[in-house]
Amino acid sequence: VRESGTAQFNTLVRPHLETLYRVAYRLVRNRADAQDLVQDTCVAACRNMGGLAAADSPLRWLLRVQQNRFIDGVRRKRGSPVIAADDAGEPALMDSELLDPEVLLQQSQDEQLLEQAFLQLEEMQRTLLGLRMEGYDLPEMEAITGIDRKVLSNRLHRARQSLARHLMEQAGVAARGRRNGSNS
Amino acid sequence: MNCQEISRTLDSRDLNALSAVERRACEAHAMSCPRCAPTWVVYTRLAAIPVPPMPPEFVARCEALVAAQGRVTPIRRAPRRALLVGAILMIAAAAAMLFVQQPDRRAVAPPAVAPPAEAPPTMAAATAIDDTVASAPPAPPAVDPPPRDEKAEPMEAAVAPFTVRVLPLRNEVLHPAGRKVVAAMYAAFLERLRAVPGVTLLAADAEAPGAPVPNYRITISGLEGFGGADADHKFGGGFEAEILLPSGTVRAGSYGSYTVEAAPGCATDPRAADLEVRMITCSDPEGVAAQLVGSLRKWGFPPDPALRHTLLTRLLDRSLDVLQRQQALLDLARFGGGYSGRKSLTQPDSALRDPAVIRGAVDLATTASDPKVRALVWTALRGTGNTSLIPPLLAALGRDADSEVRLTALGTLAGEFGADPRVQAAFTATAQRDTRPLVRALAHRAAGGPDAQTQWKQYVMESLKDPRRSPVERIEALFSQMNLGATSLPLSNDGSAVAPALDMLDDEAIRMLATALPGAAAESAIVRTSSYQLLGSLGSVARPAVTEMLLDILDSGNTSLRASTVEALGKRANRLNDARAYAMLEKLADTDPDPRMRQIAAEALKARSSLRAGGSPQPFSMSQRLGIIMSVMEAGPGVPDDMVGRPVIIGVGGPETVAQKAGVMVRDVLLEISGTPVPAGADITRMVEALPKGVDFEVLVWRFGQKIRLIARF
Repeated sequence: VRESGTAQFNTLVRPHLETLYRVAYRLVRNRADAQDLVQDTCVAACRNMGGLAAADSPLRWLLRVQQNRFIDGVRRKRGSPVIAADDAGEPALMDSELLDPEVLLQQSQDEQLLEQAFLQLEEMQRTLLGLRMEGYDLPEMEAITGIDRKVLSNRLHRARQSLARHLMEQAGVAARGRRNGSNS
Repeated sequence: MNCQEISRTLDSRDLNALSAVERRACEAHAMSCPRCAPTWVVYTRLAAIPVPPMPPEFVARCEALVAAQGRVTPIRRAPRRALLVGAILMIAAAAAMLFVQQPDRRAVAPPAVAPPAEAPPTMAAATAIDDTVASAPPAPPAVDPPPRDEKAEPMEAAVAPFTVRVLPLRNEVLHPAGRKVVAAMYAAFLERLRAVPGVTLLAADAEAPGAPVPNYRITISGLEGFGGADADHKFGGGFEAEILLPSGTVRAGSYGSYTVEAAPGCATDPRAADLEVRMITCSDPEGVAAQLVGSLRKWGFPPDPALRHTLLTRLLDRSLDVLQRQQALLDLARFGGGYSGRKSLTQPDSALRDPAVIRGAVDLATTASDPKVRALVWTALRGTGNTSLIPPLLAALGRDADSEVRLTALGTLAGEFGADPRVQAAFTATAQRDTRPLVRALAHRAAGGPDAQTQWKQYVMESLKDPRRSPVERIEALFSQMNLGATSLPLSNDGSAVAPALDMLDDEAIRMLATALPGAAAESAIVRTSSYQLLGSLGSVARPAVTEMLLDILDSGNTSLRASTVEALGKRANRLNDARAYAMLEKLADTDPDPRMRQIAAEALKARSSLRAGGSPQPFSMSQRLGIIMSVMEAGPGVPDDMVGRPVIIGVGGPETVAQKAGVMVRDVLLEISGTPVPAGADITRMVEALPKGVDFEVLVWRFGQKIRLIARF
């Protein structure tokens, strides 16, 4: 039996397209970019079908490829391969800047603001939160990203905090924008 | 629920699979914890934004792309035909799309969300925990009232017109935009109030002769400080409140703080019952409800039990804050005649007979992460006799990780349902299996049997005499016999329980008490305060061994313990005519290095001489009449950092104590006594003793986020 590339695609990639798309959407928050990312992942998979076929879990393998494509893509767009170390990341919230739950709750009503805040996050933080939002737990994320689960837990926590901080910043920017708009 | 558990839930749980109870516990913690709020609130909202379904033609596009790549590395060998068949495949795949099955997303992980077809509704509901947490932005004041709870309408027939004085708006919002909003809301509120028949609205400065006297005044003030990143947001937050007056309903929208208070002299007005603030809808209904309950507590609950009950039940049922729920339950118990009076709840109007309250309480006892809360709930439910409590109580006895909770559950089961065969079986099992010896011993006693009492007595004495145990472990059986156990039950301070408990002990065990008590008091704040109670009650226990024990404690105890001991010796000298106590008092009054001991001893001797001259006995122990049990405030949900470590009330004595009369409540944090700040670790008794007797003094306490002034008097 001869397996063509398309047949391999049908066997190994196609069943997971939906999942790849959902995770991709979580990362980029719009359909077009999500589809681009998935296509990119498919192409990368085709180039290394052997690796995919040998993987214990094709989906895990694909997710990891997608994660790398995503991170590379963001870095390319930014025009610099240099990136702040993930570990350094952003500092944890200081006590003095703890955010009021009420205000957070209110700001979170605005999905657009929320998504913009998410897009401000570092690509790795987006990757981790995206996977988590799709229901992957720490052991699974460890298998996908290759990051130790204790480190993952810390990074997730920091990512969530950064998200809240960006949300508050976004909210401030949006309010100023409105005010300027009404003045002019 | 604590910060760690929140993190764990966020890291590893499928948020859509959380039960309502789990979710509520998480929300409760997150909304009261500024550390967890960002990680929970924002993340769960983001996760709930639905992912739009993948366009059906996308699969075909990918397939075509792959085909067009033509560089597919084969598993066995490279196919070269891919490029050629690309176009055909694309068409075929597009046609086939109609039949493409949904890919199995469970290949790696259980999905966090439903399949795309159902995704939008499912995900929209993902964080809308229930209607109380729907967290819509604060509604403007003009919206229609939400559907109201039917059973909360007890005041249809009210008649008396209400005279309300509305104070001028204290608009403290700095930003002009915010100020404008608050002013508009104030105007809308007044308009609505004016429209209510039967309400006379007084201008703030209406003092004309013959003008009606206001019953109530209502203050609304704008408040900033929600910490928004931009000045525009500083007036954010807020809530909407509804005031039910005899003749109608007023709804008020307000940003910031809102208070309803009785005008001077109105608290005793019987019509106070007619004014009630009840249904609240806002982004944080529980917070506002709690705030209103706080206001009501300030001037006393309305005398109408139905209104009080509705408010508290609602808080117990809906609050996200576990401490608010606990306090609501205690209030319900208190007004139902249970808990503090520790009388059985036989009154027909007992709040704890309401199935809704029972449900709320059980929910609280099974979900609270703080074992103290769980224990307290089982204590508060004593006396209800409701058999639906048996299964959760049995579960607590058998499975709760905290032995204090098991102990409390055991006590409640033994007191209420001891005859039930299921309970009997559980006692037998617990007597053999429980990891804590005291629980085993008490279960054995509760299981009954011919030798149960004897064995229990044996256990109490053996514990006291066993040098291998810690002081607290040695003394806890005796305390539990006196119901002075380590759960935060208010103590009976008449000493009536002490004599029978000591009767169980032989002389040696009583003397061993002197070796256990100081150590245990040093180890545990609850034992310490209980020890004062115990010592204070020893004046009437005639056994000579007690005097010996007291003399031993004098050699080893800390200052407060020694003071209570000297007081006890004074009572023994006066009431029991105990010569050894008398001799010791004389010695202490002359030679003790501590001036306080000398003073107490001298007062006891003076009382003795007045007694001999035919006077009446003088009371000594100030601490008993004060009627409080203190501990140290621990960190927890709803407890600000600056309250941690401060002295907190964990028990209030009987109705004749100063504390009870002043309205001190369990969980009050003492801030000031008569204007003097109370530092952490302060000797409250000494501070109070220094005050003049028979004169009112102020006690400033922190209670659920509010500072409240109480008036007390010795």
